[in-house]
Amino acid sequence: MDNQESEAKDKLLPDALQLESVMQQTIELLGRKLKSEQIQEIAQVFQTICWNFKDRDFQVYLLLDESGQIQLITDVSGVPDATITLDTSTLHDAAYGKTTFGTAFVMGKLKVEGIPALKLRKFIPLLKPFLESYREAWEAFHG
Amino acid sequence: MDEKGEIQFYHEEDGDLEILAEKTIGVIGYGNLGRPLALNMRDSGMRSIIVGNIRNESWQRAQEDGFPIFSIAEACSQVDIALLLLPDEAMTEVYETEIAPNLRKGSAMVFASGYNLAYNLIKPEKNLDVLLLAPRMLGRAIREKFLQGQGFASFVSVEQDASGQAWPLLLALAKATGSLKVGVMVLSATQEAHLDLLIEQGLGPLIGAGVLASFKVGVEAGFPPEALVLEMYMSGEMAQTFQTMATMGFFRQVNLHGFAAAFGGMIRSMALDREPIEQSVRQALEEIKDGSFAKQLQAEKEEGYPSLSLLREMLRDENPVTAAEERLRRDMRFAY
Repeated sequence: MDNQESEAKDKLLPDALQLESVMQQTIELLGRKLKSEQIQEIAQVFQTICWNFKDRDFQVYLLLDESGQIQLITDVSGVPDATITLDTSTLHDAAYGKTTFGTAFVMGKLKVEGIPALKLRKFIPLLKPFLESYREAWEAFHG
Repeated sequence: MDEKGEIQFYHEEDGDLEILAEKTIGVIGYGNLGRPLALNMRDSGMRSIIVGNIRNESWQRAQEDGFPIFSIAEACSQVDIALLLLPDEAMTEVYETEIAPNLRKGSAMVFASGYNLAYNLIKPEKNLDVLLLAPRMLGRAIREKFLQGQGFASFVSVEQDASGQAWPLLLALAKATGSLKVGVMVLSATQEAHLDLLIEQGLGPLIGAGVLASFKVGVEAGFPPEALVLEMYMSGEMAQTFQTMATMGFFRQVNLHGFAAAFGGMIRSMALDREPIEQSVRQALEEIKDGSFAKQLQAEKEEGYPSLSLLREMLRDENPVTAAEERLRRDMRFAY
């Protein structure tokens, strides 16, 4: 990739500050997309999911509670139930269909920690609405 | 195992094809496994073979191959022996609706996988012989090996002997399919299912992780992706290594490689922390044996396979590994 292309791509990516706003908005939108029962079901398995953006050295925490609410916070006490580690560009590219979370995982660009194998399937249905919400949130933010 | 706790094996001389002379054999499911087994049995002299299938490409293929073909229900009502060769996940429903109500009292059911028996997803009627003949070979190779006069290994067991003749019947079938040429090993359906899942979930992900980690690190270091996939498996050298594990032995084949390879492999293996790997395999086995995995798989099926989309994403062609393979296939002249 030449410098010009790289710069153009960088302009599309949120920086750490923008990322926090975009993720807040993403989770608000996600909360509207998911049914309360879906959130309750996932909350039985995970209540805190850390999204760790390693390129920005930035973490946000998705909280799911058993009453069916979700929210995003920037700090938690204790260890999250699960941690998803990725670069901002991986999330961005997945949201815009340039890659997928599946491809990112097999190519080592997305790491999932803390989710036992047999509970992974509870997490999978979150992914598509999460990406849709991120894209909507970024487009609203970016203009 | 026999009464002394020894593993039992059976060979060509233990099977008597005469036992099958008056029997009608039904191949239920003419797919990857059904077709080669049906063709092998016909070539072994079995004259009364019919096929049960839904109306799809396999139905057409069975017709082209010259077998009488019926619906699954109809085929089951005509046979003395039903080889149930549908995919495990499809079998339970078809068993309840089409197979069980139509099998005649005293007939035999042969499973090629112990899965549904191991997890009580199929509960056979008491008046049937229930047999396991589980080839340890992919369908296409089952036919190729048979045509080369070699045969293939299988696990076998009698899970229910209603007729009192289940063992001779099973060994005759194993002979007709070509499996006794190599030999069959007795293993219960439960053990076969657990072992199959253990290797799929224990060894499989480790091989995958090794290949993908080497690819990622190699690309980061500047190696051409094509060179990496060529080195790892596309040249066929690794397949040859696995083959020599079978012919020479897992450890003995190391002598075929140079000292640098053996030395490097030794020190890196010794430095590798195997405990977390073993723990992961142990965890997988525990969840296989206690039925937790089977329960999740069943839930996945009942909910319409929600995880399939992620699996498809992982396997789709738009990834650097597949792209490198494609370029290599284009630019080299592999026979495969």
